[in-house]
Amino acid sequence: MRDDLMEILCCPMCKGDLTLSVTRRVKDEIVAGTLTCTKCATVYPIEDAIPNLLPPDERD
Amino acid sequence: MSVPQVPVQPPGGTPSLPGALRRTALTRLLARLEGFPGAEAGTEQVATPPQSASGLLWDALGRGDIRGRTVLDLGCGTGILAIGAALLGASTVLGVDMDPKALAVARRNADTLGIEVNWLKSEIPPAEPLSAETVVMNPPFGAQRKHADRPFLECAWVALPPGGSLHMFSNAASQTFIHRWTLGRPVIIEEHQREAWAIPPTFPHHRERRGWITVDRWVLRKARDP
Repeated sequence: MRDDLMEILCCPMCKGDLTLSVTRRVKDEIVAGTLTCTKCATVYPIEDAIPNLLPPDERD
Repeated sequence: MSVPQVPVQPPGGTPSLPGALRRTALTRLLARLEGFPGAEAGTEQVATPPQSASGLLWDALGRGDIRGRTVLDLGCGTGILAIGAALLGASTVLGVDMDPKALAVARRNADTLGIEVNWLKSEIPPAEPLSAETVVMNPPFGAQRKHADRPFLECAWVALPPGGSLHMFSNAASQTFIHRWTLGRPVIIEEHQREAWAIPPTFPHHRERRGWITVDRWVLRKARDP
């Protein structure tokens, strides 16, 4: 994902804002990192450049 | 985003717009994309045939709904419509699906062609309403779960501004449902075309070696003055 995708994302559980933490970036693409909800603290992973906004109990 | 340099015209051919792609070239590119790793019948993933995908996109292009537009692909699967829209010059494209395996393939497909598409793993509809000038989709056909396509329609509708358009495939059996869905909404049905798709026996419960499904292609536009 790229940074501008942040503008349209929010927490699927509580609709809170998400904060981005990047662990790996390739050029302008965030390849690995996390999105953390500022309200309910749920953490959503970014894996292989794709943010996973499925609720925790519905992930693989 | 930058439109990739794709060979578009034979040498000496008619000059075309930068990034313009002929429909046959688009179909060929889409046919090269990697398909589903193993479709799950529960979510009714029916891969869009390349010919049909390029047909839907070419029609949308002609209506001014692709080039320079923001495009959303709901239930994008392996990304054939999203990637095709990017190839035809959409300004930004976002593909959303809840299947991580399909998304991994979608991302590889985009990388192979060197184009930029945003991918998001989420349920439909996502928590936050997405917005786009154009929505393209081949949602679950709702044969095994009735009206599985309803949340896709709702999500697309919320995403569109007045004048925005939805280009989608749907099971022909959903025709009445879709007509009913449009009632009371400021929507113009610009197109409703029926086609037959040959489907390989993707699902274990498909006993025949090859089947046909009847599919409708719809173009719905949100009216400017509701």
